[in-house]
Amino acid sequence: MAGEPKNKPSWIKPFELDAATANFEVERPAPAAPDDHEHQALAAELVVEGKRRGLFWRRLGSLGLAAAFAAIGVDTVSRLQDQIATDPMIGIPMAILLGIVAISALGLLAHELLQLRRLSRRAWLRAEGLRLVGSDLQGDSRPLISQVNAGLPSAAPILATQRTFERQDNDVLADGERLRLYERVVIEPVDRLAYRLVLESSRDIGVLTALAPYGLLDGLFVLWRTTILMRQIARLYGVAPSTATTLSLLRRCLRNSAIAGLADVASHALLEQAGASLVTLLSAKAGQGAGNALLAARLGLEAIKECRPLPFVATKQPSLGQLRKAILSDERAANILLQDDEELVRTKR
Amino acid sequence: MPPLFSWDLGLGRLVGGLADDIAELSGRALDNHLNLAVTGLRRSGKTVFITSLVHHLIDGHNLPFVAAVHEDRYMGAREIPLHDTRVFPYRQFHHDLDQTEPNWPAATETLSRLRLLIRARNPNRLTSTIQPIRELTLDIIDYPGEWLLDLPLIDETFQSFSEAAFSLAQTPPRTGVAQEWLAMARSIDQSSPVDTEVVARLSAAFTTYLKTCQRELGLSVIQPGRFTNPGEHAGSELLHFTPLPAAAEVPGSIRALFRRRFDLYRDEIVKRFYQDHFRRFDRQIVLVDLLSNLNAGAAYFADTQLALSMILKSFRYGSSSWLGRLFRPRIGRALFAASKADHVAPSQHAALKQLLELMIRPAARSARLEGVRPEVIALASLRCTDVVKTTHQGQTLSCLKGRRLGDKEEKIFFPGEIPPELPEAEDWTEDRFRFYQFEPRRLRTHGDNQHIRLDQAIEFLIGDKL
Repeated sequence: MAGEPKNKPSWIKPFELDAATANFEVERPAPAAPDDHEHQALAAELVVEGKRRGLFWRRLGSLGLAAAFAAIGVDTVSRLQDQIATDPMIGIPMAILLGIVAISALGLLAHELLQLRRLSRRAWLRAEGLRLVGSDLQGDSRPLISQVNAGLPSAAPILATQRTFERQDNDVLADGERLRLYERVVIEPVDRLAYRLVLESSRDIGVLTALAPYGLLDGLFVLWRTTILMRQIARLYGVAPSTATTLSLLRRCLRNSAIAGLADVASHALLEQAGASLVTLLSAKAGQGAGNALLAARLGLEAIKECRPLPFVATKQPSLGQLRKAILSDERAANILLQDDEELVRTKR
Repeated sequence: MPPLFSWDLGLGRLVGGLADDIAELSGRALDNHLNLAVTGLRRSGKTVFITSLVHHLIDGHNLPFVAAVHEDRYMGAREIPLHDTRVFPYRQFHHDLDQTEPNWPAATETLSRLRLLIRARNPNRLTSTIQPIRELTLDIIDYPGEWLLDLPLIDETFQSFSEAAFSLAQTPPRTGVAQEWLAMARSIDQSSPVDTEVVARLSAAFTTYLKTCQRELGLSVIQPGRFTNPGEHAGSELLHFTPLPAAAEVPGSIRALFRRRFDLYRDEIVKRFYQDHFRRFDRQIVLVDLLSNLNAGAAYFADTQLALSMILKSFRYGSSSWLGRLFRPRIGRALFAASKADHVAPSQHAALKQLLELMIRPAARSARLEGVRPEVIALASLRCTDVVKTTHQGQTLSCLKGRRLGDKEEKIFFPGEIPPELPEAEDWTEDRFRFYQFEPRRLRTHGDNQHIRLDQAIEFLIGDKL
């Protein structure tokens, strides 16, 4: 053959298949790949590792805490032994009671740890999504999407959007295209609902801070309402809202707000300054209310980022500026931000 | 006996044409009119693209990547009748494709135009009180791909055109088929007075050479384009000239005649074509049939690359101001599409896209220079294959199930692989690239999976106006 390369060609010649003997199957949506826990855990660690600071002090603290608990345990057991030896009638029931308490505490701890793990798995899913979103290749997006699907709550509207996605999905789509389609069809409606929750909670906080007579009362109220918001958002994205996840979410959000918020604050500083001082002139409480509402909104946005199973690619996250406009009673801006999803809202409440 | 006076002075058409122009101008002033350039060489799939585009815009179904459709704002589209030009026969092509045994549209022989009105609800809640519905008028023209190669002639003189034609004719694979015409052109006495018989023989030899290059060798750089596809100029004397070796011009000689005919061809046919149809584009899609080029071989691949570079120099890229949009529009968005992507397995689309990106890099330079970043996709206007997986020598292969051109029934094929980089000399072995052509599948109303990425092309080209 003219021009035949010397090495064995790395390509296969075009050919026609014999339908009688060939073994073939028509391309269908691939089944979900089995969970590769080791791989995922490793990737999650890799993702988080970059952000971790002061690992040494954290380890030292954990060690100290574990030692303190161990000491308390040992002390309790020895006291119980003494008690059983001196007065078994009181000691034995007490031992049984403490045993029950210890077992339930351990169970609770395991449950909380499991939920925390779920939250941190989101980081892995997002990292994987980010890796695939620019890809023109095929084969990795369907397993990822089925994992994301499994993590979302099984509410009727979400199931409906998932069905719409399956209908629109196509065997020729590349990984990046399929993920963008999924984000727009399935995740975007959930986002809109989450923005609504953020907006409602910041309005509550703003109004009640302005009305509350004592400073301590606003503080408590803000804390209570923000916690509810965190739990609502977590539930919306399919992360079970346990105490540990709420606290972890609150901690991550506060940290991210402190870092990421700087840029936002810098760009809006002048505007905020002018606006807040104007409001403060009218009423110090109203100014405080506006400030608290914005803080809650920023925390809410951060919570959405933490709970979302995919990164923002095909859809944009609203900026604090847009949310501020919506909070500060611009009804039209709020409507642009949140297109009507009454059905979804009703189901989730 | 014909009537002595005819009352049909074409007034109706004239007035209608004027009304069309006014509608276009007002649409452009309000920024709701776009001229879409569907650019592509011969057999690159322009007509099928336009037919499928119009079908899907009218149908509004299976376009998940079009934002207006996704947001449930898309209302539909309809054809607007035009008066002054030949209207693109959409209904006929659509009818041909919407049959139990569908047929590909015949090769385009003449210019035609289509105007589409597209409506969608305004997504902007602030402006929607004033303008609840957005309307976009989209103008598309279809024309024989050969005519595109005429556009670079606008800046040529007879001398420069002749030099380029001679140097091209002396390089393979043209050398063999150009011999007869070359010998004839070199042997004649250019300063002799015009002899109609000599002129006829020379121009016939040149036309035969061009037609052989195009139809038998499958080459793309065919200049002048009307020699192989004359359209309404069939039989015109304007098409009777050939390039000549450099010589001094004597008045009344053959050379003088050919130079004059070339000038007329350039000014009357090419410039008018450009002025009337190619000056006012806002968006562009360039369709490239990479698979046929790979099938044809290295020389043809390079020839298409050269043709694309030559053609794209004729378009104006950049962003248009309000006034510019009215009188001197520029192409603000350019999309390069590797057409017939359904003729390879989806796993090859990434390589197809990458190869096209490399191939058009020189051609897209002028657009980049003006700040227009061209997008590249692998596209199939009308999908005619299914994807099938099979195992071959222990490897899982993505194959295609479809009816090959001329076959009676569907069969399964492994269509071959696309090199992700420009093929080197040793890659062009005899049987590496043998991509099949397929018969069309029926283009149904509300059908699923009828295209590949046509929706992404629509979103890129006109999505911002919906």
